[in-house]
Amino acid sequence: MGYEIRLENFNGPFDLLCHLIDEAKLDICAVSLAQVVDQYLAYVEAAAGQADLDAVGDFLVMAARLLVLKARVLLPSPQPANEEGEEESPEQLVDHLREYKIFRDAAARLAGLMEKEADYFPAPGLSLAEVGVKKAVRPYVTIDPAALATAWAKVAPLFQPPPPVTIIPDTPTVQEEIKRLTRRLRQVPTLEFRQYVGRRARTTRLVPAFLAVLELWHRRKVLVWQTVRFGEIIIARREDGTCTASH
Amino acid sequence: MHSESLTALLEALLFAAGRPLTTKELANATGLSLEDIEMGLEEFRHTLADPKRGLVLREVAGGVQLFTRPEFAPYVRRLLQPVERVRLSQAALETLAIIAYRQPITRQEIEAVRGVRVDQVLFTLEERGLIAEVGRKDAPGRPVLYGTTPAFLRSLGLSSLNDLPPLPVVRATHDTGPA
Repeated sequence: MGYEIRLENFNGPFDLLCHLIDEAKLDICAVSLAQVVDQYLAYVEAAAGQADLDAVGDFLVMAARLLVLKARVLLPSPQPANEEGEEESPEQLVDHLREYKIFRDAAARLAGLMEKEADYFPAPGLSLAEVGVKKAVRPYVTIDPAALATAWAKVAPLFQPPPPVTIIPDTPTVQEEIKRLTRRLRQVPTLEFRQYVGRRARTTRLVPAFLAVLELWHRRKVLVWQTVRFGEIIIARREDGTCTASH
Repeated sequence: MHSESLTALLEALLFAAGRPLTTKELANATGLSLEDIEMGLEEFRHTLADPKRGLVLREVAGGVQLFTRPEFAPYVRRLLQPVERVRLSQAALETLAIIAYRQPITRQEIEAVRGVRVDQVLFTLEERGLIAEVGRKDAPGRPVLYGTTPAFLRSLGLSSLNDLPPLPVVRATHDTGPA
């Protein structure tokens, strides 16, 4: 291979396929896909050793699809395709790749628009504070405390003690817990789960809170570990979490 | 009102607002009819075409707004030294494009097009205010539907989603064009 191309530089298997087809100056069709299968596999094989499986996973799935496709294109089968119903026809993959390419090109145009837009600076406007719009006007009145007491005595009997109500504790949602936990982790770098939910947290709080931890871990926003089995769950903010989105 | 003083009045209002104003808002503020405002804006746009002027009037996010002329961007930048926003990654742009043209759309549908997971990218786009949850799909699991925001239109300088650059070929099997 003349030069090295790293999988991380591609936004997924379709991106790599588009690149390979563009480079070979081919139109997107089943035959051109079959032609680039070997190159595709070479990239994935080269990357599979070093990169983390998470990143390569999608590429591996595509590799399997491509091998099936290549076999179909090279060895036309006597039976009609799609006999088993579930299998993907080469045309579907080609359609899919075309569709992807449409959006990949559209993305470039949107980026162009954003770039151009950055050259327009809007008229500043005046902040509400400067203009004093809707600023509360504080009335300044002298009130005689005695008059206030008389007034209260008049209206007080009108107020009945409210009937007792049963308060149902508000059950937080996972979304709310994610926001809350994210806020907490902005203040402190690490946090124990117990400490976060409080010693006496009810199940209705524990479950969404725990799901929130899992979700943030999944989004790579936090690291989670235990020092011993059944030990305290420790949550730590991932400093690199915000900008590493590779796909 | 003379057309000149109307132009000046519109200029004042747009300058003070600093955000896109609809013709209706302008009509309410001036007590003039929508037609008068339309004509006044046309006149104002004409006035601003003069090379002696440094501003342009543009239709953005459903209204009109005043901006500095793009030719002067380097100077404005040198003066204000604005914090350059981190550019969107290619992955984020692709995802944004799919949402823009196919909205409302679920995460799974986006992933089907891109062939990779997009949850992190969605999170980034949401944080930047370019997309938002717009509802839930009436399907198993009631997945969240995503759509673009007015901030998306503003950051692209578009007046509405209809102004998105048209897609080259939309296959007949997909009838979900720009909403």
